Amino acid sequence: MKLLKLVKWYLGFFHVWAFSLALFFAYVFTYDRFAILEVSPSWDSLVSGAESLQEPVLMAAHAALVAAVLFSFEEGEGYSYLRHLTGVGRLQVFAAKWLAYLLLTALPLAAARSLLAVSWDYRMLARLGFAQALAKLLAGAALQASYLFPFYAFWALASKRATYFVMGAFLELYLLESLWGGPLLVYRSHLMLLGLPFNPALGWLARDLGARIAASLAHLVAAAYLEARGEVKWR
Amino acid sequence: MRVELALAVSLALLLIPLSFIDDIVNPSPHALVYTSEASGQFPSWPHREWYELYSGSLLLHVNDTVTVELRVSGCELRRGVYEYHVVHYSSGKVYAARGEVSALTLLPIFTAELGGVHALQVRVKLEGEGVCEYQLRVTAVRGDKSGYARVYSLEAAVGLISVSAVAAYVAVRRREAA
Repeated sequence: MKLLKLVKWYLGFFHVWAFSLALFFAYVFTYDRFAILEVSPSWDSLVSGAESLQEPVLMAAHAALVAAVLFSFEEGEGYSYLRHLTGVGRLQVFAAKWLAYLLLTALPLAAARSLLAVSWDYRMLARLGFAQALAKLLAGAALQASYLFPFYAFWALASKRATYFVMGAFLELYLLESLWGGPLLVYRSHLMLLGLPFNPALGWLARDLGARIAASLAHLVAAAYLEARGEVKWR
Repeated sequence: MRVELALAVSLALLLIPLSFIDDIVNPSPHALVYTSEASGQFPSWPHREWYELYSGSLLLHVNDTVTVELRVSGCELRRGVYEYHVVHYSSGKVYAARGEVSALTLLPIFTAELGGVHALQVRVKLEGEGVCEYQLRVTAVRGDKSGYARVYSLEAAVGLISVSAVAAYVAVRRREAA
């Protein structure tokens, strides 16, 4: 019964789920159903062929919004209710938020890409490799989302209001292709994990990936510390 | 609430055919034409083996056409034959053509009957003197998509009608219950 209550509580995030569904349609809209592409004959190439340059930014914006809902309104969104129901600690709640975030941000992207691959050539389903390509795609999307998660989690926890956080995150996305690219450049990791075609014009964005991953991990530790401490003093 | 939710989701699903219709009506210019060029020299004479000039695979949709243009220069060509194969990867359908090679050869235009990945191969067998230089240009162009547009419009219409039928039924039942 407790489990059922948990599921019910989780499904209660209706607006977040609805927004993820909307993102699915946004992804479908950015792809070209009738693109003529040079691909190798495999599911992998069909799945990664369905891509667009808007996709990384869309995904980052979605990640920022989900992080804002999960971290800026902790009590309001009922994670304290989750703790009351299950009796777990704050760090476990942090992990649960991370899982929810992964489900909400990685699924629409994977679903949109596989929808397009299937509508391009459903006969490929009779061939092997669709499940494998899908698993690879899901893993890539989950890894890219996990790379963004610490940044957004930390800044959502640390900034004074959800509005300030969302404004900052979107300003950062706006500056993404400028010289003030900000701490999280999304293109390089998106390219590596999700098979975005590499655009040489974005080459300078590719430098110091290792430093970015280190920064991501540092943000993760800081966010976990803030979450474990409970109410942030300056908020 | 549950009924409204189901109606909202099925109404939202109509966005997929609408988005595909938008891809037909407002195509992105860089996705309309695909071009690939290859050039090189043949190995020294005599060779009676098949020599592969191009092999690659393209994602094509119904009615898209592929044109292959072959130019051979710099050598005295006594006799030349080309073989042109297109294989639809997932169904295994084969389209093959064979003909004579001249200084400028236009291979037969291939029109895709099925959507999906097509593997293309062009190979030649030449006899002659001198060093042959060749230039090969493969162009894929988007074909007529009005059939797709009809299908997607029909899909959207059927979806809209069924959603409104369910909504009307729910409204009537609620009025009766109230």
